[in-house]
Amino acid sequence: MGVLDYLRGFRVTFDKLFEERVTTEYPEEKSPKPDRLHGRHVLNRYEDGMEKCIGCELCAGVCPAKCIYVRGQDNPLDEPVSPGERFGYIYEINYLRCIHCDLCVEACPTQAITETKLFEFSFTNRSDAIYTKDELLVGDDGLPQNLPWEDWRPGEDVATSAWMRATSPAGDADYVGTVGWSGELGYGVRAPEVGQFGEDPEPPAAEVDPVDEGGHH
Amino acid sequence: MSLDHDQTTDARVRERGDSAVLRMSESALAQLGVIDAPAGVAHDLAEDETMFINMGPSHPSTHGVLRLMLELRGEMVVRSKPVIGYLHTGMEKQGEQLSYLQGTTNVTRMDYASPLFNELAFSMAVEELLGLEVPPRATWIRMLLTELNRMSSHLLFMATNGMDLGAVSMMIFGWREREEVLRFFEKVSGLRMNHNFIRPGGVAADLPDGWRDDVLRLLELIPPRLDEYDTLMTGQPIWQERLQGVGVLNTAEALALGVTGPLLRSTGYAWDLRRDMPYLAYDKVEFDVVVGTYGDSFDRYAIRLNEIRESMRIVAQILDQMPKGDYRVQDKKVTPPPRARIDESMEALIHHFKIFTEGFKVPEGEVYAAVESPRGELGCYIVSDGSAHPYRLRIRPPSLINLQCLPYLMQNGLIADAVANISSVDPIMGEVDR
Amino acid sequence: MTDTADTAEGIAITVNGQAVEARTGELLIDACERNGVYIPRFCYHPRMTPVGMCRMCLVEVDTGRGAALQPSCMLTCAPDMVVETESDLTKKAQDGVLEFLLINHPLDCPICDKGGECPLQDQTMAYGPGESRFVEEKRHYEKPIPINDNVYLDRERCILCDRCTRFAKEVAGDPLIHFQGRGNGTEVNTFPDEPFASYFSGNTVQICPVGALTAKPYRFKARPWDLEEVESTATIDSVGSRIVIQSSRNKVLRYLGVDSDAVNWGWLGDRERFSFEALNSELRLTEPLIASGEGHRVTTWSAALGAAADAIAKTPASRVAAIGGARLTNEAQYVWAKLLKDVIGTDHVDAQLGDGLPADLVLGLPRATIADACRPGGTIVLCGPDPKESLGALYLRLRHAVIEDGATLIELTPRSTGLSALAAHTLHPRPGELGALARALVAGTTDDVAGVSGAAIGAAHQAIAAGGPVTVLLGRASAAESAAVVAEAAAALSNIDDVGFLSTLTRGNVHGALDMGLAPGLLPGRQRLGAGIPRGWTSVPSETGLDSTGILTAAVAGEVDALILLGADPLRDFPDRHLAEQAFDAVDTVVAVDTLPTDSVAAADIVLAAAATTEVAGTFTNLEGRLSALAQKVTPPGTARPDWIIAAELALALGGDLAIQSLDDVWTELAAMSPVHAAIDPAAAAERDGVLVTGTIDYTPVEQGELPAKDAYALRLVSVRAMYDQGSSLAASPSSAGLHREPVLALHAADFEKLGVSAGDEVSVTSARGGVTLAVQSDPGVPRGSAVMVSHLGGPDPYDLIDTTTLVTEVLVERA
Repeated sequence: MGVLDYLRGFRVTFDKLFEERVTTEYPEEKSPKPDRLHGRHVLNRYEDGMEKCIGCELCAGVCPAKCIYVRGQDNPLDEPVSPGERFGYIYEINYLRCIHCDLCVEACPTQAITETKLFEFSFTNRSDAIYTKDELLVGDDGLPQNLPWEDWRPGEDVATSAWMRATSPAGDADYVGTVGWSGELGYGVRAPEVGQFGEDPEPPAAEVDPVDEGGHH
Repeated sequence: MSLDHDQTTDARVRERGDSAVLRMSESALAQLGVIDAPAGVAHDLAEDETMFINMGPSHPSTHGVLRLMLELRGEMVVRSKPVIGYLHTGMEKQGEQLSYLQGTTNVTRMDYASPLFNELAFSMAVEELLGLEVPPRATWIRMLLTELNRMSSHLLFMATNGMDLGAVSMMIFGWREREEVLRFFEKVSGLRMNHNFIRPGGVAADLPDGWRDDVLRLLELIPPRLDEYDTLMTGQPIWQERLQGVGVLNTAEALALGVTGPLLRSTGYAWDLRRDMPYLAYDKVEFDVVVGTYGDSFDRYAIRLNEIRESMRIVAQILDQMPKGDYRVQDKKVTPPPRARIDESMEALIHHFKIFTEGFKVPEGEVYAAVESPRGELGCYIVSDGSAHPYRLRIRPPSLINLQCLPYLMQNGLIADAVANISSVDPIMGEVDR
Repeated sequence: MTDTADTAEGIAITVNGQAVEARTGELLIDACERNGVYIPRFCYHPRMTPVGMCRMCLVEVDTGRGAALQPSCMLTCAPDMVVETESDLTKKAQDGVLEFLLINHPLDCPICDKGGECPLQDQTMAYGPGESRFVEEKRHYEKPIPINDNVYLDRERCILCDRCTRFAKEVAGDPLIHFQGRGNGTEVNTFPDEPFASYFSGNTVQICPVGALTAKPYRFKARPWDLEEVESTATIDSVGSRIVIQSSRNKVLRYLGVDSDAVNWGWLGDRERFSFEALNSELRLTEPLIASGEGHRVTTWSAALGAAADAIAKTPASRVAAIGGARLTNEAQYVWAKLLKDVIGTDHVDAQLGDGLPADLVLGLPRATIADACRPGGTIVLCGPDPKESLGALYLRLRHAVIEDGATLIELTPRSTGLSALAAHTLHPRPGELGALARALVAGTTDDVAGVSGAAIGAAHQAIAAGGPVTVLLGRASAAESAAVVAEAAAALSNIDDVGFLSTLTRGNVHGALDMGLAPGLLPGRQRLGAGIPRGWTSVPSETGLDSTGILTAAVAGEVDALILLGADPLRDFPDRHLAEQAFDAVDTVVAVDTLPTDSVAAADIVLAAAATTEVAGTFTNLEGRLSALAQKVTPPGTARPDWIIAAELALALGGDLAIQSLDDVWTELAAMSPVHAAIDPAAAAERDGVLVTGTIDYTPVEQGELPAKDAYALRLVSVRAMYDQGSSLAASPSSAGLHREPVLALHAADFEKLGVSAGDEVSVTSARGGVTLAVQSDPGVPRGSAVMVSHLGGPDPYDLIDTTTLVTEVLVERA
């Protein structure tokens, strides 16, 4: 132990000046968002434009934070909103309570509610935090609505519903990699993940030995 | 339970001044007022030599909202008393309102630095009550994720420990590595923390495409950085002066206080639930249990640093041995059906509906399941009354039990050492208070 | 529920290895459930005969010849039975039955109202298969079809359990829904062109174990996990059926019937079931109003109460009157009674609107309970309104008593009722002559009396004289017939050996009002005025006051200056509408305390918005005198206040002090001043069967007076009520508002012939008070000489014709 030990330590920090930066210049530059990221929810439509939500309230029932308020109603006979008898008449999510666990996405029987990758939104008052059906429903082109206080970037709306696709086999190996969902307006039928059977059946041996000469003290 | 290794190791006294000497004859706990003073304890409030100050709960170095009442004589901490409860949100009570499927979203938020361990303990407890056998792939995925979580939690420790002791750049370094692990978690579960991924019956989803590459990248990235830490800190005289001989604990005291985890191992007692009461598939992987010698803060730091290396060793073995197959037990009454079946099968739709809304029912009984979290023994005690909600949910939080030793660590140390001691105990207030 | 008497010896059986004692005649399924072993079932319902249709309750039973699967709902416990409810074979049977039931069941769970509270779902989870083996096409029906205005039927979901069909036929007596087709094509449906027009169709929705029958008022409104619930009592009629109030986000969404063994057995009439809609109506009064110009303007509570207090304070006590109180809780009635009779000092207080019976008659005759009336093998004398139209849950109990338990029913009604088909003896006296008929019935004369043949009277007399307890259902069948007539009949009937009287006054909590002294000459606790000043009170009126008829007559004579209406609508509900209108014109100030804008509220000077049922806690007294707890589940709209608080604040505004700060204070005072209530523990009212308040008042029968000779040309008016009409609560409930029939005059065939018109032609009906024009029909249930009209239907109303000063109202019917 001597002065040199001090200097060695300072050398580590000094060398960082010349090493590659790991900082991402946020918000101009954003880290790429993985497929399964849990963000703000959207209510999807079928490829023919009809809403998928049937107002069944399963999402409200499973939500551990009790942040979803749904009421169903009969489809008006002349202008049905969703295929079938029932549609989601009132649909609100309170984002001050939502913990983004996406149990609602797993519970929805029609894949109506899925989540986008957007988590960059903030409000200045509580009522803005309660997203109503108008704000959650995708537009006529199937794209999520870009509300004024949300920071959407190009390409962020593409990889939605990934969590629903990831959990769709529900643990059963036979259903890994199979499609079990309907098409979404604007995106068609999304591809499933390749899954464990699409990977290399022989996993490569790990070559890294993390116990190096640093070793134990 | 057999103890076939060295149990008690007396604390060796380093030549570092009076602060290293622990006197058990005097109470380490601060007392206010003349009433209830323990016998034989010299206290004299009229003396005016000591001063009570409050450290926290709102304090950058108390690792959350921990309040410490310190009785000071000059710079020296004579006695102290941790006061907790500032982060209490009634999570155990809330657990009684949530079904077992929703329960993981609740328990995961207790120890928020290592959320997957909470989920794991809870899931293991529920599975034992249900009598379920989790499929192998689920077990190995759980092991992979919890070991990575151990790494990220210890990196958080390194970061905060460094910051508390003045090595500010360590904060950034620790965060940088931790980011890589959290990025992987984000890829797997969709969230960087509080993942709700390990569920009773298995895991929520299969590992994503390309996960092997990500894990390999982690295993390549982190070891050189750990070596940097050794240079930056372990070998640094400042670091050694600040941590060696500070907060010394011996095995007898640790066992008496119920301390587990790196604190217990720092005293020389090699107790790790992964080895001594194996769960998941820890009996199929090789790893060493890192043990300290002197029972001081430096040992704790070093143990955690090397536990990161051990975790990486385990992860490498998992990469080799990961089996294929189901990743959630296919008990129709517990796991919802695959999405493809909901449109075709009446029974599947009914089970989907009921499992998500009411939840699955768990037979009556009580169970305690424990895992080795980065902080120690994290246990989950559930009493079930046969319904879809726990009758009583109790988490044994390692940080809470470990906090008991804090007054003893701090006694006759300096205030600056108090910061070092809190940091080396590494409490997470979320699980302390729940 | 098996109607068994508890014998001293039980029947020893073994269930799952444990010794169990069953009652004699008890079904195995009940015996097991009573001992903590639940056997799953679909078609079995404790209040209907078991049919063993669903096979879900199969358990292994060994009666001595080996174990075999038997439906436990069809087996009566026999000694030494050995029952296994959890054997492998039982589980296989349960799994198999559910698999079969689910084969054709549509994948409707997310859109089905029953999801979350569905026995099929719950039993599939607990006992059924986890996955399906069915790959074929399921059977399809058009879905859903409305089978009446309020009930939808989805035949795809139906599991053919026979519950709705059994209920409709056995319990309600309206066999309008039935199995049709056979084999795989069996479906439940109504008959072509015949909707499920039953007053009790809502019960089938509640008992249907799947979502095949759903209620339109609840369709898609909420899910079980949204609902908060509390047990309470229905207050729309005086039966006081036990219900569960379910609400979400502070709005009542549904009532469900609760099985109270003493009262309603879980059944509700549709009117009761859907009456919650009036609570959520936009018409609800939410703010106090004060007259301004032609209408009202909103004002503050202090201004409204101040104005009311001013009006009352400047009026001598004998010129202040109050009508109404049957809508209030018992506690509110007590507080108002104290305000009116102590603080203000007037005894012109009447909860009834001249369409009921004298209070001391109801409180003075020996009282019977519903259980007494429905006693197996007992005798029931119906001397009041048609229970099917007025007291639905009581009607179902009476039906059961007559059909299943061998009760004998004797009708003394002005026209046929829903029970006529079940009655052993039907006697329709001419209006005004009920007393004479009653005397003849008790004495057993063989002459024709009151238009009824001596033979019929004699036969009925035999039934009464045969011995055994007799229960008289006593009420006011016709508003056109004076209460004195009924009182006379009651006096005669009280001479029967071992007789008990079950009141059939119909209006809400009218019996509580009588118990709490909202009647002239009475004080709270079934005590008469003149018994001294009750403890806790400072004064009582010195003279007995007037009843509603008297009050309105006095008002016309200029003797009433301030009139307080406690949820009463005399302009609509008083049988002599003209008198009521004149009275309103004559009175200086009318203060209305109400929940909905009735005609009387529109004519009032000061309107105080009151909280309605489910918005106030308290207790309710039903027609047996049974006290049951009312729970508060939601908050009143706007600034509407509980009635008792309005009374307390009015007392303060008048400078008096009721010394009542809470509902507990009310019970403390009642216990101190009323011997009848002192024995009651108010907490017992919260039990499902409530607690009976017993104790009668002394009563002296009064002669009715001479009936005028019958005019050969005139008919005597009979004014009855129907289940669905334009009453204010029903008009504010969308699902009930349009269900009332059109007004029609019903005549005996001979009287109809005399007119020389065809059915449906318009005729004019004139009395001394006024005239109306309406369609006429011939009706075999109407006796000769009577003209029957239903009131409150909107349009031509008998209340425009009735003269309350006479014993009967005679009308002249002519071609229009």
